[in-house]
Amino acid sequence: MSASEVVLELAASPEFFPVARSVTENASLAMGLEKAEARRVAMATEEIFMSLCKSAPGRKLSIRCTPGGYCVITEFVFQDPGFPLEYFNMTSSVSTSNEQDMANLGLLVASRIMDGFSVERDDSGRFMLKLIKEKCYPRHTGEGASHLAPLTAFSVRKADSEEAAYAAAQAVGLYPAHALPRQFLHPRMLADRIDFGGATAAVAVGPGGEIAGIVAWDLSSSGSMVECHGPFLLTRDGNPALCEALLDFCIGDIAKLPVMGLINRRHNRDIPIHYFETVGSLPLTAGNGETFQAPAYFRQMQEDAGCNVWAHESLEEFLEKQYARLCLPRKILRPLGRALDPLSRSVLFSEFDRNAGNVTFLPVSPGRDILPNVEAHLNMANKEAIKNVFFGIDLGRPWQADFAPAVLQAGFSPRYILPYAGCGDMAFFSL
Amino acid sequence: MTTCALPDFDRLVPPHIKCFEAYIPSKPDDVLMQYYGCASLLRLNNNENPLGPPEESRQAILDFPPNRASVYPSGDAYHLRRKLAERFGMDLDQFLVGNGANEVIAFVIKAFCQEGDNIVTADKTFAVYEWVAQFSGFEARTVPLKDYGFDDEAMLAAADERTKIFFVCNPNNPTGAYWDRNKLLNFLNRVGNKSIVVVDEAYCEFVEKPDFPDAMELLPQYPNLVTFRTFSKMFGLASLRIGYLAGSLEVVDIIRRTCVVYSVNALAQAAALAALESKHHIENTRALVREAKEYLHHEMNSLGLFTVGEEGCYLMVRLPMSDSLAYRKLMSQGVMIRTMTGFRFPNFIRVSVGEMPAMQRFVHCLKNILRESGHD
Repeated sequence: MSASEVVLELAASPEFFPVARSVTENASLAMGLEKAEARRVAMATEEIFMSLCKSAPGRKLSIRCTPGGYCVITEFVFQDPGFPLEYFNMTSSVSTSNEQDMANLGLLVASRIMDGFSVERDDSGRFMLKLIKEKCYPRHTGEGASHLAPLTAFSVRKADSEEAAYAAAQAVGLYPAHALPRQFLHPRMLADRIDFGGATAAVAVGPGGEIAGIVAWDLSSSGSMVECHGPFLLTRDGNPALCEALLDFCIGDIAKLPVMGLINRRHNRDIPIHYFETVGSLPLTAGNGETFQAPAYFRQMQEDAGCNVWAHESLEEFLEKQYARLCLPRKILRPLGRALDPLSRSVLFSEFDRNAGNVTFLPVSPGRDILPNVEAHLNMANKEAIKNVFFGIDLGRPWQADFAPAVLQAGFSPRYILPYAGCGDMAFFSL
Repeated sequence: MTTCALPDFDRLVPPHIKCFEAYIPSKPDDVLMQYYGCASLLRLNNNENPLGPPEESRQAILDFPPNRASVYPSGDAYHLRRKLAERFGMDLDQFLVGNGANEVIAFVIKAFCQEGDNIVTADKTFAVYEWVAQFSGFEARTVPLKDYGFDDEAMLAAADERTKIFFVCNPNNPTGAYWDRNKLLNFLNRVGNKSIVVVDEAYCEFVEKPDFPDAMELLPQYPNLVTFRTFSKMFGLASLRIGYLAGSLEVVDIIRRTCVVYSVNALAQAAALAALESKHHIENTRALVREAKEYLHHEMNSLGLFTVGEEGCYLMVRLPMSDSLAYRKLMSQGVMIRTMTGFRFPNFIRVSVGEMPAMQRFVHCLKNILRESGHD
């Protein structure tokens, strides 16, 4: 347990319910959430805890609250083979006439009031359900930003959180929204992430101390990939040397980490693209209706020793072409499949980027209802008028191969592979 | 059957191990060839000697009686140390032999560092000094290079009263830059007796410059100086894993206390002993390296590619593309080089010197990938 965590171990019994609720609420407050958000964490805890009291009465349960700088992560670890994860689908609904549905209404509420979740199940059948609640940050308008005069000399150094937030706010006024990551549009979020160690930034500084450019980067949740944002140039002229120096600094900083790659999924005119490989692009529609292709850039940080990927036959041709084009040494294997409970229901995580009007669906758990579930998620996106709908399949997880035929049948097309972006390579699809 | 819970890692694992990631070596050639679909693999990635071991070592290996495999080797490489002492005019107890130079790095760090201590080295050099310090729980202070060489002033500035060891790789791997005699003497004088100075001379036999210092000769003057040498590079015995350190009797006596005896196998000891008898091996290797580096410099210059690599059996080349992409493209043509991103030199590759046909094949394949990428 780290010094800043709060860990509670208790039995899934109703008499402990107030303890669980109170600990998560108070831990969330202590970790920086406002009262309203902390109350939501407590509500979600209540619903999950009560559900476990019914489905796994008396079993040991562990609740861990961890600060994330910009958020609080509440993790539940428990053993319950019958836990109804399907209520975490964004498309789930309950029928008032269905007793079981009504019993799980709380889980549905829990999934909706949090900003993100992930679920893992280890070989012993232990669930690790992680819920994320973010702090509220105001969106920056970019007002007042203006280009600096061209620089004759500069140096690059690691940015502190205030410098990074300042440079991010400037970038908001100088670059289109689709080129900017969420934490740039909300510069205090970037500052909190830097202070907490969840993100890093470097700035280029002119002779008078003026901040002339920024690049920021953070480790993916899988720990195998670093995503970089930028470089963003704050001077009037194009300055490739400055942008290369920023990127060199970023690469130097992560060079000794065991990360497989550096990715950049938000193109801007100042990215030195010869540092990367273009793995492909996704069609995007901006808020003003303008459509364009958004390329994804990748740079491998290690020598590729080759690996196996799992794929359904319907995806093989696409993968073979992509791997040949990218010169990536891969063996494509077809999973043998496994017997699923006839009543098992698949679960998808919906990763929203509402600023950009995007949603990406990612498999969380397999089931017998993949096609209807994918279609239901598509309908939800349509109803919410989300313009850009994507799907990601982790080729390092054999069970996810089963999603490919349904995803294709639902109208998605494979667009690109992002090497090592998940447990293995990730394949991304768009409509 | 009861399955026991995993060990309590939170309590058992020290923090410096928790945050340290294991180095994963590359897969064996046959596996790599399968993945990359190439019929042969030209290894230009590990700075191995393309001529292999000297004749004398080859003979020693052939003469090694198989039944001696069941007998423990000399626990402290007695005969080899005696031979080294004879060759360098020193006492045999001034030498310690290890399972490759990597092992002797660990001996030195374990002998002198305790909690709160640090070592000082460069940020773009052989990474094992930094790794061993870190996974042993000590701080590794890495100083940026200056003009591709170790920055003596910055190293001294980075040191404090808890600095126990300076590591200097001379000539530096991967840049090939070196400290001349004056610079090394000046550094040793300024350090005084406050810290140990390790001069890693893994590639010293490749250097022909008259001002290149021989740290072995400086040992009588500087009792805090320790030098590392290896049989893996010039003497072509990399697969047998054998290297050694030399220093003053007093310093080596301290280091010996952390030394794992019996770690060097008998075949390696026999082959290394024979290597010291070799007559023309160094001369022949130097001639090959000279010719190959001249060829490489010329070819890289004609392609407009910037090179770094004054000394050593390797050359760094800056590419107009990602080094890891170049690695994959060269691998698919059966040529293996070393990417330099991990050394904090993005877009550089390091090519080990090989025989001329190997160099020509590398250049041919590099031209192919530059053409494909529109950089010809």
